[in-house]
Amino acid sequence: MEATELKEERKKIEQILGGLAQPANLPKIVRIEYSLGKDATEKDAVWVWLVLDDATPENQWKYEVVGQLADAVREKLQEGGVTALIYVRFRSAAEQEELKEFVPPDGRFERF
Amino acid sequence: MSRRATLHGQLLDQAQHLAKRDRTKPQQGNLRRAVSSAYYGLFHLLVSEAASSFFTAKGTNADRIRESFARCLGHGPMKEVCLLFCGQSAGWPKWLEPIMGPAGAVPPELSRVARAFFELQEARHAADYDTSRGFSRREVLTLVGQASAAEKDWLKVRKQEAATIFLLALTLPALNAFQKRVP
Repeated sequence: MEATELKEERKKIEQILGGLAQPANLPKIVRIEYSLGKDATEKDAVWVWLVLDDATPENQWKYEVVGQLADAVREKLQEGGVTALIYVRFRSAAEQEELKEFVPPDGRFERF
Repeated sequence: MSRRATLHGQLLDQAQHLAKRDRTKPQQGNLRRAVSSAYYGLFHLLVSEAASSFFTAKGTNADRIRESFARCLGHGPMKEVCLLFCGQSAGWPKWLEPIMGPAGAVPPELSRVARAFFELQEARHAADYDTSRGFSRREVLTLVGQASAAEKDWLKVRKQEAATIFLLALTLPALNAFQKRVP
């Protein structure tokens, strides 16, 4: 992806993730982080980490439930014209604090 | 941990076991191996389905041919096929167009299998090679859950025509390599 295209893609991603409404009846998202880059096969990709409330009940962490959150976020990004491959991952807020990663995300959106 | 006879089943069970293994603070080594096992569980499920669908003969020699063929299926070409079957590529290639028909011909279960494959492949790559980012237990358990859900989806859809075409598409790039292996 050319530098200008990358900038455009980033702008779209920031607008969509920054304005994302909490999907109804699904676990509460307390923070969204994303990074844009190339995946293992050199395709343009965006990684989205959905950080869920620590109070999320155990049964709401099942893939069948959080997978619906991933679908909702992916759909919004694709509807908004994001062409990069989208990889959605999940963490709890407490886990996110503990991980102390070396590489900061490209963007972070706090939600309350 | 339950005992399963198939390699893919054992790998999926192993992934679950490793993700839950450390009671308090999960070790990155165990979490990363869990991601890898989840991906390979799905990989071996599809490879074994492809090999047994197109090499149906019985006997020792047939088994050897099936195994030899299975080793020719590559991760990269399989990802490309999966991108097609979950609508991540711009249309069908020419040879698939008349077979697959208009967009939307892929059953949702098959589309989810294809998505799980390339998403888990990417996660596996990060788990094995990228130490700049960590994995959390929740993150890993959802990836393992995605692999198990893909296995269930596959069992629902495997007898459908689209699934056979999917296996054929996975298989074709491997035939050249297979030709070189078999004298």
